[in-house]
Amino acid sequence: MARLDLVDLVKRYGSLHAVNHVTLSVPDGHLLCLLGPSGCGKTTTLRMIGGFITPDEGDVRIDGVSILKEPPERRPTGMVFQRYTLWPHMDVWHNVAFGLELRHKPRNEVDRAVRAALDLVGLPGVERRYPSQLSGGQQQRVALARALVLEPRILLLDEPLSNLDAQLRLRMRDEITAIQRRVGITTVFVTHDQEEALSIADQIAVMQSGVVEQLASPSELYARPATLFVATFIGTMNLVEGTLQDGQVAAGPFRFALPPEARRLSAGAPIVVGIRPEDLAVCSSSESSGVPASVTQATDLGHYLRVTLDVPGTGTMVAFAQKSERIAVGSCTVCARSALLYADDRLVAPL
Amino acid sequence: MSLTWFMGVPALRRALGTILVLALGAYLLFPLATLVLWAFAEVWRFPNVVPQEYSLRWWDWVFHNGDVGQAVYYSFTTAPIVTLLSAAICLPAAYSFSRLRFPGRRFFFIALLAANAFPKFGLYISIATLFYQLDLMNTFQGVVLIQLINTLVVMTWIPTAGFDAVARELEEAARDAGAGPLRVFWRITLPLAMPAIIVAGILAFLAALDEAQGTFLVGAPRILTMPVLMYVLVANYPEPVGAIFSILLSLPSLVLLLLARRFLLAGYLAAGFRGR
Repeated sequence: MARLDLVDLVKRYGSLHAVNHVTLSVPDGHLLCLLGPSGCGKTTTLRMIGGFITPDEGDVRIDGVSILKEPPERRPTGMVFQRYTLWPHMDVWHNVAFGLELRHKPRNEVDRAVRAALDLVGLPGVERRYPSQLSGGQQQRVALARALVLEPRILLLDEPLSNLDAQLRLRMRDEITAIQRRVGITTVFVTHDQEEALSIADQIAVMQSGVVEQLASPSELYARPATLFVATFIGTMNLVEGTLQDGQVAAGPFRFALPPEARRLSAGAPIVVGIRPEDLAVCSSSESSGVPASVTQATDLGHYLRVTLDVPGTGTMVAFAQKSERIAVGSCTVCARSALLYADDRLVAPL
Repeated sequence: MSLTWFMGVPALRRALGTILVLALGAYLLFPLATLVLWAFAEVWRFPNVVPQEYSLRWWDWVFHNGDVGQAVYYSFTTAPIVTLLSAAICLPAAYSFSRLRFPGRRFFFIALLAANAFPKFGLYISIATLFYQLDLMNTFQGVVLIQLINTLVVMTWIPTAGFDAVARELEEAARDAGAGPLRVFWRITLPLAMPAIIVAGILAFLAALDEAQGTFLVGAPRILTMPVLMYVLVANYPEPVGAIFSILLSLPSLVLLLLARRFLLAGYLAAGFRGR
C-alpha cells in the first residue's frame, strides 16, 4: 500500500498557471477529493499523477520515491475516466484482461483475476458483453474493475460519476467508497460536486485558479472554511461586511466580542463575518434579545424550513429552522449562535 | 389560387411523391436496363422496344479475346498495387494530421485537393512530359503512379476522420493499463479506425480501377486496363461488346461498394451504436 505526495507542483500553459505550487499528501488507504469549479486545475493535477501531463516544476512521489520520470504505462496508478472509458471493440473480459495480458500472466490466472475484479464491482457474468450493451453505470463499474485488476498502488478517479443520472450517481458513489474501503487503496477523486466530495472523502482539497485553498476533512471544511471562496463554495454561507470598532466586531447590526486572534488587526479594518444558515436563530419579535429583522419567506423543504430574512443594515440573509419553530412571515429578531471572522479573505477566528 | 394548392390534398401529395420516386427510379434504371438488353442482343433495330433476337455470341467473343484477358490482368494488378502504395503513403499522413500539431497542418490537409483543382487532362499532359524524361511512359510503374494521384485525397481524408473519432481517453486508458505508445496504436487506435481505413481502401481501389484518362495517356498502347480498352471496343465493335464490357467493369465496383457499406455499418457498431 502506498502514500502519495505531491510536492510543489506547477503546470503553466503560456502565462496561465493551471496548477500553481500545489503540495498535498495522501496517507496510505485514504481517499482525497480534489474539489473545485471547472478550470481550477484539479484534473490537470490528477493527470500529472497519472503521467499524462508533465509538470513544469515539483515532484510526484509514491512512498517517497519520485515517479516523475516514468511514463504512464510504468506508473503504479490506475485511472478511471469521465467518459469513453471502455474500449468499444473489445468485450468486457478483454477490457479487464488487457493489462494482465500485457504482463504475460498465464491464462487461468488472468481468468481468475478478471472474475474476481468483476465480482468486486458487483457485475459477475458480463465477461462476453460488449461495452455498448452495458448501461452507463455498468460501464463505469467495469472501468473500475479494469483499473483495480492490475492492483495499482494509487487509484485515480476523474469525475467518474458526472455522466450518470442523479439516482445512479448516489448509488455508485456509495459503491465506489465501499469498494475503496474494502480494497484499502490510496485514492484521488476529482469532482466539482461538493456533496459528492463531502460524502466520500477522508480529506478534501478545495482548489481554485490552480491553488489549493484548503485541505481538510469534510467536517472541518464545513465548520471552519479557511477562505471566503471555500466558505461560499461549500454549503450556504451568509456574508456580512463590517469593521472592527470599540474592541468589538461590528457587522451590520451584529456585534461580537473581539477574539484574541483578531487583536493584530487594526481598528477600522474591513472584515467579513460568515454565518451558516443553521447558526442563525429566528425568534418572535417579543423576545427582544436579537437583531430586529423580518421574515420575507419561509419555504418548507421537507425536514426543515428555509427562511429568507430581510435584516436592516445587511440585506437578505438565509436561515434554516426546525419546522416545530412555526416561523411566520412578518417581523422577528435574529441572533447568530456562532459565526466566522474573515479578514483579507482568510479565516481569522470563529466568533 | 396558389400554385401549390395540390400540396394541401393528402391523396394528391402522395401521388406526386410516388410519381417523383418512379421518375427518379426510371432515370437511374433505364440506362442500366438498356445496357443489360444490349449485352444479350443479337438483332435490335428501330422501332422495337426490345431486341428482335438474343444470343450469347458476343459474351463468347469477349471472353475469348486476348486483349480483354490482358486488360483484366492489368486492371487487377495495378489497382491492388495502387491501393497498397496509397495506404503506405497516406495512412501515416492521416495519423499525423489527426494526432500531431505541426506548422502548416491545415495548409497541407487542404493542399491534397490540389490535384482535383485543375482539369485532369491538362495535369496528365504535364505529368506525361515529366514521365517521358524519367522513362516512365508505357510502363507498368508509370500507370501505377498516375492512378495513385486519384486515390490520395480519399486515402488521407477518410482515415484522418477515422483517427479523429478515436477518443484520446481510450488511448490514455491503454497507456494507464501498461501499454506503450506503439502497442496502444496497434491494439486500440488502429482497430477503432479500421472501418474508416477499409472504406478508404475500397474507394481508392475503385478509383484506380476506373481510372481511364491518365492510364490511357501513360499506358497506351502497351498497357491497357479495362476502362481504357473500353474506348477501343466501343469505337470498333458492335454495341453488345461495349454493353458486356460495361457490365464486367461494374461488377467489382458493385461488390466492393456493398462491402464498403457493410464496413461503414460495422464502424458504427464498433463505436457503440449496437442495438440502439
